[in-house]
Amino acid sequence: MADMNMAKPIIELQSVSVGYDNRDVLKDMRIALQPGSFTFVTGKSGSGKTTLLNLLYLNKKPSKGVLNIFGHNINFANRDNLARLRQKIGVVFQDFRLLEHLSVYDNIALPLRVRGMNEKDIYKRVIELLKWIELHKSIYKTCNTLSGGEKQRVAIARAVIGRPDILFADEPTGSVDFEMADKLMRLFVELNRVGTTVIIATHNEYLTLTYNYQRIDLNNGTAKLYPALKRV
Amino acid sequence: MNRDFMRKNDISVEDDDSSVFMYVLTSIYMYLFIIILAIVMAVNSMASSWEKDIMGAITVQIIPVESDDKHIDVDKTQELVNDVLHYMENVSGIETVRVLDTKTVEKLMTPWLGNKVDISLLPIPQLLDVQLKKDAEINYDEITRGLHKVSPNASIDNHRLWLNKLIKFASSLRNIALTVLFMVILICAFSIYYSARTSLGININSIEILHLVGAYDDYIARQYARNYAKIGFFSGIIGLMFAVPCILLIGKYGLSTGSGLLSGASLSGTAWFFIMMTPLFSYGYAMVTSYYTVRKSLEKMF
Repeated sequence: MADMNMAKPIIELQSVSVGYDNRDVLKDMRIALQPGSFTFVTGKSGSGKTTLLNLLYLNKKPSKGVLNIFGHNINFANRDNLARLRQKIGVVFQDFRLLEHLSVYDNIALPLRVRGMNEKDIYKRVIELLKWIELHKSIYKTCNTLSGGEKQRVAIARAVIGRPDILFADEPTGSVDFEMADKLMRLFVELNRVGTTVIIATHNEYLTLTYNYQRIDLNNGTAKLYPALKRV
Repeated sequence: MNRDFMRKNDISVEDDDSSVFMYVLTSIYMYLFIIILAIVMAVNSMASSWEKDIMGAITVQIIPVESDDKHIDVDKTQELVNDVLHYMENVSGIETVRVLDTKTVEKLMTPWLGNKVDISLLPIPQLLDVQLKKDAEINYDEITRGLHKVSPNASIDNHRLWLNKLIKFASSLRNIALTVLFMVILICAFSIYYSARTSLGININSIEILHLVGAYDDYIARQYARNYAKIGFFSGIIGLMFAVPCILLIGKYGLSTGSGLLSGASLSGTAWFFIMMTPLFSYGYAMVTSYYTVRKSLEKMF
């Protein structure tokens, strides 16, 4: 993991508020996450986890305050800059958000295609990942024929295929069995080990206890950062 | 086959209802476009041929000489024709002069008199077809005066007056057709605009996903442009399939009237080339229109 004291934050929220209908869902948030860090985002339902993730994966701009990602002030980023920054981010959505009319292969290949990678290299990467998530037999199935667990694996594969600098996951183990959840968590840990900053929003206390990483706890729109517990 | 060519669009634009609607609508537009384009080109060619006639020829008409018993004096008339012929051959700037034979005159009169009239019984004027040299500067007043001296029965018809009116009429017709053509193109652009916007609304979730995985607006707009280019091309082909027989049929009926005026309204090889190229035009037009519609709409939507 990178030296967290030295590096410039990869994500920095300076007094950020986000609101819907004149109501602040996130209030005056001040968070700085270092490159290569692994963070859980926890909190009760409605505490603002999804809104925070929306903000961080650049689906929403702050109503107040400054959000810096990769050193760029998002408030002033134009459409093309936002797209360029998003290409360095992988997202696993809680509701998967797959393109249902496309095959498993095409869904996973999507982040590489938008970057203009050639089809031969895309094929190599996608097949490799499909084997890893054990979906290589379903390569040409359209996503609307997959089970919830399979969809989740495809969503995760799509998020990691581009080897992102930051990976966001919203309840990534919610629809898979224990064994697959463990396998996916090992994938996230492995990605983090090679330098990806990982942020996982979860309800699953087992995950936060088993994997000892820092945690942002959200409560009523405010955030508190808890460092990783020191192992005894 | 190339996998990239075979693969589906990331946005299911091909399957939504707006695509089917666009195929039907664009085919109708293309049919109208091709027909009007053919009319514009035919009228243009007709006006050019009239213009060429004005520039290149004049007609001299000689009223037959009547004898004392009010019958046509054939010998005197022929003598007069020879005098006029001789005079005209000596005018500067004249290439050829020929007397139109009875059969040609008969043919010219048929549309007005029908087939059953014996025109030898009628006091039909003798006509001289005078072809002018290229770029010759003709003094029509001088010829008129000269002819009058030869015989008061001879007069010049330089076609200019009535053909000028016809050319003006053809020009107005062409302008109207061009306006309609422009309107068809404009309506087609509006249809593409609204169809693309509807499709963007239908596929808003897919577009949001594409944005979130880092797609530029250009990437999304190109997906639409590819689909609309396909619609444009195939609609162009369908429009052409229906329009070409209609053009041929109109041409056939036009020629069957036997009118010399309409014979100039034919379509040249270049005109047919433009007509055959319309599917490529609609391909490019639909592609560019949809591309910019999507780009502009995305900026407003997200």
